[in-house]
Amino acid sequence: MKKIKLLFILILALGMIPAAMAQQVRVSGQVKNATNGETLPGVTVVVKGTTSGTSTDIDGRFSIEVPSSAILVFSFVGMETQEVPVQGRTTLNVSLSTSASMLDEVVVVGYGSAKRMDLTGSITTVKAKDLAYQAVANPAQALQGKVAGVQVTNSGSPGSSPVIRIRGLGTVSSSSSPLYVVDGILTNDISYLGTNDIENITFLKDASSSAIYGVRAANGVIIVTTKRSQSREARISYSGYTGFQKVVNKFELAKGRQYIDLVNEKNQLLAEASGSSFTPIDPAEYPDEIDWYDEVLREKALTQSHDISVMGGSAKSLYTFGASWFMQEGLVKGHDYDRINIRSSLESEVMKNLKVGYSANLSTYKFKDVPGVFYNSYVAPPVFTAKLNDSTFNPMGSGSLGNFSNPAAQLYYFNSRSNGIRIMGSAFAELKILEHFKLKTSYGMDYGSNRNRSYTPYYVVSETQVDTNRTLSRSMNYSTDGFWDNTLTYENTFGKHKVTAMAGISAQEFRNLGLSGSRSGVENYGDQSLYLGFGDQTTSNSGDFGSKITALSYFGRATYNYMDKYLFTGTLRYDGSSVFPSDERFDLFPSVGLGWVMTNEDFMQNQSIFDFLKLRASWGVTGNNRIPANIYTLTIAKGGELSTAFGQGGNVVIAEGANITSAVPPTLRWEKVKEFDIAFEGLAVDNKLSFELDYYHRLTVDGIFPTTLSATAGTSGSYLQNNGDFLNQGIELTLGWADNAGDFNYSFNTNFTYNKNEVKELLEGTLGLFGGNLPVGGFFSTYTIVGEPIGSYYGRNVVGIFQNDDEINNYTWTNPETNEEVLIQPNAKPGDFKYEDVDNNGLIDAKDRVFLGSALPTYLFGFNATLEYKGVDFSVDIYAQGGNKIYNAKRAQRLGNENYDLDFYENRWTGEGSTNEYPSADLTADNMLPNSWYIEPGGFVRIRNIQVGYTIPEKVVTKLGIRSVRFYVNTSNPFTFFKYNGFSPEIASSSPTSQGIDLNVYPMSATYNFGVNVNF
Amino acid sequence: MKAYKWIFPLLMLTMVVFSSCQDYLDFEPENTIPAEGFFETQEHAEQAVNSVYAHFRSWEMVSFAFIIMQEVTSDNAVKGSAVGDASFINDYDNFAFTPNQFVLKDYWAGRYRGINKANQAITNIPAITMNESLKTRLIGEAKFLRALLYFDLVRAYGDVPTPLSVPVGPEINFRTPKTQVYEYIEQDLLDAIAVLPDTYDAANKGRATAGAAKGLLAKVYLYMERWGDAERLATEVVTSGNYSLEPNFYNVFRVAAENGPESVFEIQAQQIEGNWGVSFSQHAEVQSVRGQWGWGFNIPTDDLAAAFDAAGDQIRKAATILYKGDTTPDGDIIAGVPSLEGIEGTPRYNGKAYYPSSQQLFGPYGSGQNIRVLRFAEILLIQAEARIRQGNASGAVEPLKLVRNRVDLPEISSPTLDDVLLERRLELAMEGDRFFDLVRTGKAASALASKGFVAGKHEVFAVPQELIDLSEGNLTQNPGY
Repeated sequence: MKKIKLLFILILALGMIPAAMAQQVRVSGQVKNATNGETLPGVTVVVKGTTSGTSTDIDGRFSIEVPSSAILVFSFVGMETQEVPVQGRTTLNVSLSTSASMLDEVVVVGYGSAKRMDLTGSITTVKAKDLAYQAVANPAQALQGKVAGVQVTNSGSPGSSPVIRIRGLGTVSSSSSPLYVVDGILTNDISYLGTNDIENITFLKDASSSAIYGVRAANGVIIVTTKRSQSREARISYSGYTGFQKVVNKFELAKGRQYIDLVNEKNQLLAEASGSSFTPIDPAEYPDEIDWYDEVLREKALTQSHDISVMGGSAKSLYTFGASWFMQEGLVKGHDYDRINIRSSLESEVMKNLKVGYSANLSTYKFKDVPGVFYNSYVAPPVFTAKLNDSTFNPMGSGSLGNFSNPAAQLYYFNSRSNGIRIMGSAFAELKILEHFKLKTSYGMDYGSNRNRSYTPYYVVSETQVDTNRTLSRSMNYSTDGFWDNTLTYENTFGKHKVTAMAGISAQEFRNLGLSGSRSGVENYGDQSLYLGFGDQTTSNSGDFGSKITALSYFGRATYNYMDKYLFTGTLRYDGSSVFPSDERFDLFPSVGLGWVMTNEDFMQNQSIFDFLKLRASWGVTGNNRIPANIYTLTIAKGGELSTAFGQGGNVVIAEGANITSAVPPTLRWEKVKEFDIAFEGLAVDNKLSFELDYYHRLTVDGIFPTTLSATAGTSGSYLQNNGDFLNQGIELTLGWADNAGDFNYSFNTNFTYNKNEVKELLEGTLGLFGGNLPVGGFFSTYTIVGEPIGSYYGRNVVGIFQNDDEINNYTWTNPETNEEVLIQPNAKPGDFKYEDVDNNGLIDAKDRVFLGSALPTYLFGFNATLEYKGVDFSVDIYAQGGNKIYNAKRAQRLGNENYDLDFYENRWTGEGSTNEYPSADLTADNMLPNSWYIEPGGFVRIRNIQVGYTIPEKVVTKLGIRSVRFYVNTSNPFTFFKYNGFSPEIASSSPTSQGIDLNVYPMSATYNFGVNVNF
Repeated sequence: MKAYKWIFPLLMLTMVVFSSCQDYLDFEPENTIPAEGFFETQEHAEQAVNSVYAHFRSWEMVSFAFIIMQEVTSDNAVKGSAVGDASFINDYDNFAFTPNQFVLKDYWAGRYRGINKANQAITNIPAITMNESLKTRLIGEAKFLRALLYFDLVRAYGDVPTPLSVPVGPEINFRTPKTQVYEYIEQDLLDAIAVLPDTYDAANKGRATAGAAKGLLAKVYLYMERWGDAERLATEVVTSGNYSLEPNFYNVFRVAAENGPESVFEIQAQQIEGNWGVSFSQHAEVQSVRGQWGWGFNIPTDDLAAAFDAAGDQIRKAATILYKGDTTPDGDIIAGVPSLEGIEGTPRYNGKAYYPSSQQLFGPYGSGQNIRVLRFAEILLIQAEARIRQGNASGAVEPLKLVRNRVDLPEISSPTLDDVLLERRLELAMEGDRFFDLVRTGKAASALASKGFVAGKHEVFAVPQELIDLSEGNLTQNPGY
């Protein structure tokens, strides 16, 4: 605490250095934007060669006492700097034109902002225009391919959050998603925001940029800035689109007779192996055929979005209001998402040096969920009709082929809906002290509440697909996440030295609470009758949960700029989080960044290739506290499962049980990322070419890594400890070209990322981590160990298919000691996988497992082209990734007569010589073990968007009192090219050790929409 | 300069708010019962021991792993159910399972989870200030239950790790020789016998008694081939006067007879509306009539039916094997699917897991049925076998007669060992003892040869591969796997 006090006093003392005073005249005037005539608030006005100056007020007005011979320098971010000699005048009206250079662009950084030119870290901004046209429920979904080093994996489910990885996967603990900072509030999820709410999204990719958010910045930081009024002129705008989604790349399954053939083949092989008799299923008994996906998927799923926003200001205030409605039907029948957003912000200069304001974003959503029908649709025998007649669902042979649920009935009887509210708001007061200090205090609150109602009606489809309990379940929960931030900022220029400093304190408290209850025997007389009170009281069940996490942080940043040539940024954050044991709670997260603007050196003045060239290097440490709260506290398990009942007949007494059934680690520290980044960035060829080339080295140290506990201990399966070091190394290249030929404007942007992921070290005594647990059989399909990427596939290596008994009998191993010849796979039968005996011991066992690739892509590629000619614009986005593999696990989830896919049907082994690639239909026993056959290439190339727009000429619309009108048609994800045998090569999994395992994912869809933007 | 008036109060305020930063991060975790406060009261001691009883209802203890490894492996039962459904079970029918087969780990993990719960109680209860006689009794109950768990493990895997207290140490990665495991089991049961009561009041009926511990130890001695000790303990139970045979064999397995005179030890199961946790057990559901009540696994073989017929044993046959089309004494007509995998002809089911549909109230089908672990009839058979083993065939006549007369079979005047072992098969069929009995008596190789049983290998199951991996090879595999 003492250090912080000292820091404050130091900064205060600096500010008190008196400014030199001289012979003065008072000059006043107004600054406007030369392009649109709007007034410009916040323009810096300084006397050239000195540090004295002011800035324009909310109306763009300024007033300053200067020597009558002075030259005033007007500068504003995004605008060309202008120098105006006073020449004795007392009124100066200035118009600034928009800067062509991206160097003047202002970029948000943690707890502040900076000019792009001054940055020493790797920071990339995506602007609203690159997001708003995409028909997505969650703005994060629109980011795929936009930024080098950022991998976005979308699941097709409406409203769902994508999995985002910045510069690779650096953790195996529970959460690997980046931190979002929305208008200063830290959050894990931005699914409540509409794309129209957003002004821009900034990625703080390297540790020196994100270390200021040390507390949980290890997975990278994404700063979201929502729309704010920039001038007092009132503007109303509407943007909206409507369209539909359609399944693309539909994956075909076996149908009808194909399925019967496969099952007969399988059962015959099984019967032959066990020597039992076998009666094939008579195909005549099952004359029907069906594709169950057709029964559960919509042909077209509608989506639309409408957004109105109003911005403007009055004498001392700026305001923003907005409202939007978004709806999206899911591809599955009955899957619906609907959201209304209202946002407002106000900023006012209530006193000369005091600015106060607030911003609030309210979002309410409704969601109709669907059950996991993809698994059932894949496995259900495709030899039945969905219904027997108009009202009766098909009982699927009543168990004759095994216990299968009718997917159509499963969907029909599923009734679960949720709705909720999310309010994110903050209020601030900013006090300007002297000329160079700003003291800002802000309080932000992130409030979310959700309600769910699930009802299972009475139904009897078959003996096993039956529920007669009429159970109603309800749950309600809410969370509050409050932040109090206080910062003191100092900014000054001393001749050639530009200095900024910031110090702050932040406190956070997160709480959540949930209640749930259920009763059976609730009759359905319509939605209004679905209340627990109408159920059977004796079946009443209730539960609740709650948690609390607090964090406390002290942080500071200093930047120094010498003559725009040499740049320095240093940050320090001291963070404490309640999720760690008390003696490991606080840790220090430093960072330093250096920049050298080579083009400002004398020796570069005579060259004309580079307009701007900067070399920068940075190093920093960030932390990850995203682990479950208080996992080091050993707790008690309690409840019905641990209770028993003693007594008999009329004298039964429940004997409550409780015990210690888990185990906890002895201690736990912060997981930290130490990152080094070096880069060239610049502009060349008359600012037409922009480029940025980064190399990064991200080392996660003290990585939180589960220690697998032996089942013999009888406790939980594993607990977390600081066991591992993980390394991500990579290269990011971003290239842009923008130019025009007369009225024809064009730009191309491309980004490329290469990343290599590796487990660098595991603490001695730490075993590798098996993951990717497959539901049937419980096999682990991944293994995380030193030298391999996190979550690498691990299994047996298939060298072929046994074609006949001879081949099985010839697949032998000779014991070198006894010269005895043994069969390597004595239990195999023709059509089975022939596995490699890796350790050459005559047995195929767990030691014969090899690494079979990783779900982590090694390269990402994004491309965008935008062309514009006289109001007609065209753009296309392409995204590609590669180097990754997919585990086609759905093929091996077999307990009995599950269905197969068409590719398997067409390529399976059907007898000697038929194929040496695919096995027989008997994918049970050893054929079910994780092996190389199930691993498929996961790379894909996707046309992300194609858009054509037309802006009506200004002279036409201004007559109608409209500033501008633009129409467009857009298609998102119309084409994806991939080899993988599944619906989609995008397998979104948030669990680092279970990546890319396809157990029936949401299908992929293309979106076609038509939109219009109108500005009044 | 006015601004200075603002800054210092603001800074002061900031400082005050954060002056107690440690407190801000320091609080008891929400929604948890810290273990620190547990094992402090009498109630905690009772809860801990209750949780060990409850553990026996779990999936690994009495459902798939149990029927697969203890019955499907024998000549009494096959997988059943639909062709192809859970076909991995056939790996146990055919002895084709490998160390990676997950049922092996389910069985193992389920028993060690129970052992952890028992060890928590045994380690922590002694320090609790509470009613001393209750304390002693509770520890005795926990030891009885732990012995039962180790008895399963040693029979299934042979040498097994033997953690006997918490926290566990490196001992969990090393196998204790089988003979030593049996000694631990014996000690636990001797301790239990010394402190457990012979009976409980009505509300505690179902807890482990001294008789249960003696009966179990008698059975354990059969496996240790300590025939004299087995006879002595079985005789103590027989002469205690606390037990008698239920007159009607069918009724032995019905709810009305639970914790009755024939019951030596049962896993307690109840259906209590609204309490899903207490009502949860899938022992009956996985075996019940497929297409009518349950999944239809663990199906009695024709070989078993023939054994009943050859012995002229229709009463036990009717209660043990329910054929499609039968009407039970409780009035249910057995219907269900037209065929079951591995069964030629009429589908049939394990009658001992049958639960009259009129009694089904709440929870998985048949979850209200107690699972019989030790019955008085078995104690009589242990007595008979132990006596024959010691050359006292005439001493076996009486206990054997009691068991046989109940099911209208005549007395055997000079019984042989094979007579007693056959009697065990018929009396205890489908109750989870057949495979272990065949191994114990050395008959497995001949009786199960046609199924793929390899002598010298399949007497014990494979140690789950994952545990060998985790032990860095310290845990060794059984020969042949």
